[in-house]
Amino acid sequence: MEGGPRIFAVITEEAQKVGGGLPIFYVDSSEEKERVAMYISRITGGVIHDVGNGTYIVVIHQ
Amino acid sequence: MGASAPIMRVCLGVGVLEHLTVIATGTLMGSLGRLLLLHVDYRQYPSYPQAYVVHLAFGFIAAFLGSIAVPAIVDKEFAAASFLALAATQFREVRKIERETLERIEETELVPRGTAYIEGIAKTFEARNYLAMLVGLVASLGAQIGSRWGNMVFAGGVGIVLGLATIMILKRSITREVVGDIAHVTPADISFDGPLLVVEDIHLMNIGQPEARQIYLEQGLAVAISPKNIDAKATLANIGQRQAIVHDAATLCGVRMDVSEREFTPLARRDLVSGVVALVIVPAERNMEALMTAVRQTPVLEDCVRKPSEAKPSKIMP
Repeated sequence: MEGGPRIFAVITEEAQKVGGGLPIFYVDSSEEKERVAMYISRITGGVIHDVGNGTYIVVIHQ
Repeated sequence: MGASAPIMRVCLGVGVLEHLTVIATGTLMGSLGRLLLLHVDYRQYPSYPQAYVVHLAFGFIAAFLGSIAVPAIVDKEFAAASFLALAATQFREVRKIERETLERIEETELVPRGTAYIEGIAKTFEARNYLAMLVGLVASLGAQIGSRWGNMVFAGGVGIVLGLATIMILKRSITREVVGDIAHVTPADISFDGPLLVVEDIHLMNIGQPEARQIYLEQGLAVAISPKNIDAKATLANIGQRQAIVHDAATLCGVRMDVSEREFTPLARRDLVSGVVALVIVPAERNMEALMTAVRQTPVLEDCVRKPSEAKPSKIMP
């Protein structure tokens, strides 16, 4: 549990809703969002979470 | 002088034979006790032959130390009995070794045991060496007493009977409670509230990927672990206890996950009000009965046991 969960990336269809210092991936459709999120989660060993406003986050649960 | 020498030798011979019988009986029974207790632990740990050799060797040494205490006292060598204290220090090392080994392999476990489970296992192994020692002590005491009335075969027989009785009593008295004793384990349904995985109205996890949700619905299994009383409720609230349940369920039923597929990490979360714990897993083999059995036979960890019912505040509460 050391360090706790860490947001690794944000994948969003809503460019105006997301900003900040994290890696952000802007996508055009929900299919693209799912695909990009899946690829990133497989690479990082993270889990995809849906935060509901057209945005997915990939979180690494340590 | 010339006449007394053979008599001395004969006396010495009998004495050595007596000691040998006593020590051999004690060591044999103590080692047997350790072997039988090791078998009880088979399911959880260890599962490889080298560990068996290590623990049986330690058990043998413990039994030997226990069984030479009685002959030492008979020969008025009281100082010799004090090395039992030395043995205690040695067996504390056993706990340390077990803890270190398990902590090291923890990183390679897909579903970790958790520190509480590791500590429980390490403690059990230390305790079982003392038990081997105790069995050795009792069996050798029996053989020593038996040797006063009959021949060495009778003495050995008395030792074996007393040793077996001790093993049986210990085996019964040190058997730990299992989750099935403190809680009802029943099948539960998996559903989704948006991306939230819900079992028994308990939100377990946010699953973003629609495919992963589908896999949970098609292949996942969930159980509800309902505590039988407030003690069980407090025990099941412990994170270490829940991790132990998850680990055993994943080990015994298999788990459909890998390093890069963390969506399917089995989870156990509790309802804040009722204390019911919901466990969800995507097993390798979808069998509800096997999962419920695995959960029921998970040991209740000594370090996680809580007994609020024994204390005053819980008696004041309605």
